Amino acid sequence: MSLLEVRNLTVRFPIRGRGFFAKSRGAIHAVEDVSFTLERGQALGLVGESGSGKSTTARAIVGLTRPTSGSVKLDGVELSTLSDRERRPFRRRVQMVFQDPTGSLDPRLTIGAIVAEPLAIQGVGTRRERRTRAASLLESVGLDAAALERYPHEFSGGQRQRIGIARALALEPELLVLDEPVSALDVSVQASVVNLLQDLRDRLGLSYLFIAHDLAVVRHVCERVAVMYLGRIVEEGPREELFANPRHPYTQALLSAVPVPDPVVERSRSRIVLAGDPPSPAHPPTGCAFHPRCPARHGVPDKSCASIVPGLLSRKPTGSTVACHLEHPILPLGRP
Amino acid sequence: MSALLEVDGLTVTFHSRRGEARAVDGVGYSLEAGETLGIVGESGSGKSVAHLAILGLLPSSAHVEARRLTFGGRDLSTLREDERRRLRGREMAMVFQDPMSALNPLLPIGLQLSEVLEVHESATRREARRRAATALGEVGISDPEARLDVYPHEMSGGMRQRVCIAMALLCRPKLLVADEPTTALDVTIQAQVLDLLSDLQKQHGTAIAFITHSLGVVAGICDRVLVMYAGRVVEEAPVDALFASPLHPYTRGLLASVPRIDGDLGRPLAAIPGSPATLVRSASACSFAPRCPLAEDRCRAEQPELEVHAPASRHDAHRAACFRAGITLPTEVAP
Repeated sequence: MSLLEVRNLTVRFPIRGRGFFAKSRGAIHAVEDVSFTLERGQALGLVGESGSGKSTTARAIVGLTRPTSGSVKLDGVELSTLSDRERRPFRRRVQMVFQDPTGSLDPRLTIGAIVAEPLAIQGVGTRRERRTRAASLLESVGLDAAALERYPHEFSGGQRQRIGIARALALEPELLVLDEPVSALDVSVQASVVNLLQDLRDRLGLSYLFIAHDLAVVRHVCERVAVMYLGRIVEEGPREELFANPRHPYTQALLSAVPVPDPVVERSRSRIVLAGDPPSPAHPPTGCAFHPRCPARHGVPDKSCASIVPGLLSRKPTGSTVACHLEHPILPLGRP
Repeated sequence: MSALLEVDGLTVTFHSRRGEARAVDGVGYSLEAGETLGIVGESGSGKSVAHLAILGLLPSSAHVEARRLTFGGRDLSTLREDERRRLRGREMAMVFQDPMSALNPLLPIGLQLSEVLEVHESATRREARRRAATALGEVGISDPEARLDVYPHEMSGGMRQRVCIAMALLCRPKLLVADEPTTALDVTIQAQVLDLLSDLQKQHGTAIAFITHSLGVVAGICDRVLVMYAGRVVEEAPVDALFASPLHPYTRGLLASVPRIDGDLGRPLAAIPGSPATLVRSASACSFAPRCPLAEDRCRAEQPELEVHAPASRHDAHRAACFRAGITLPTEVAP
């Protein structure tokens, strides 16, 4: 059984008019019909640009946002319909690391209190045991136990992110949901946190759902990658396949836009520059959400791009899936 | 011919309760017309403050000194504030990281654009509005006339940054300082904006000082690169030389620590230990020494000067400020 199974997950936020009796005026389609599975021990990267719905997907999985519809199963148990109380035992198994290492640590608590807080909430051990555990957690993320008595402002950004990781590990979770864990860090510090995450995963047998907009970091950490655009997964597959042989026109454009720190390579690359901005998730385009900006849609014979949402279908030998009419043309009805 | 911008010994200090913070410490470089110079560094390296000082945009609490600061042959340090103001916007302009805070949220963008022309070129209102629309068209904004009446919050981040670029280039400045102009943007939008900048540069021959923390962006658009650390230039080289044979251990460390989309997946990233340097620090040591795998006693006792290492013409020289420049790092030795 897969550790995490997400099926047809949809999250919409209603847009309300002004005034008390105002009616809802439509909705932000943050996540639309997202399905994927995460096997035990695996790291799955969720990439996409701002507004693609990757963070909302993460929040719906850990229970910080209630899904509009769809299912989230951990080890076969449906989580999305549980009440907060029923959910509590599962929170131990799925923990989250946030982007902003400053905003996610309470400035008035000592590091010891921050790291031990999940244990206290779940009623694990005595106060003294929790303290010992906090000290060993700090050591496992490369910080000295002397940090226990100090406060968040005394630490650098990279160290604070290590503290956030130690807190997430306190309850010995199986799955870590990491929402842009290194993007707020300085370049020279990013690498050490990425290496720490790799090392922890090997040592503790963790599974990661790794959300990031930096494709090079995702490629480094995750064996599987899913690309999101305007609330939907447009392509998913093993990293080797996805980075070497992207099939969806959006994935192709996204990869070609990532700069490579090598002037010789940069001069020889051809870049697919997309026109315009992503459309608003309040008014997603009909059919394929990418069709108004798609450089390849003229290759689709019957103009199905503007009218039919392409399904995320598998490409047999590669183990990847793509949602594009170019890849899976729709056969006109009546033909065998 | 002398360079468009010449800076030598630029120093910016702020006085704080915890002592004197030297944000910029003896920065020098020259920039030719039409050239793109990348300035790379992490937060606190002084790359932004140095350029705010060059443009004269720092508050009076900052103490700015320079041995030489000339623009088009004119000594900037002797200009009166009103003379500098006339220069800014017309001959030198800046694009900031956050286009939302660079634009006035209460005014439609057409008004903000035409104001520049009314102030600097005494254009009539109608003329200014017409040129504002042309400028929006130039940066790839469709239906520019209608967009003049739009407010900043009604636009996307990429669109707002285009407006800022259009505004900066309205008077065809000779120098554009672009301070992390694409950092807040998504990669596909970043690609659009970088394309736009290099097209406009080709058309108008603008010199660009491009401040960024991204080595990838530098590799794509710059002719020459300065690497800054703790307020100082630690390495300066033509872009190919910098990436092919970096000399300073910090530059080498940065290059090795950045994951690449086409990189080797087998081994862990070579992280630089420690945290970026603070602003209050000793003047008698290399600031990178506490994090440097090659540091020796001399590095902790003496500050290295920026010296020419590779033989080259004066403008293309490869310089580094390091006693151990070019020595292989332990992490670079194949296991």
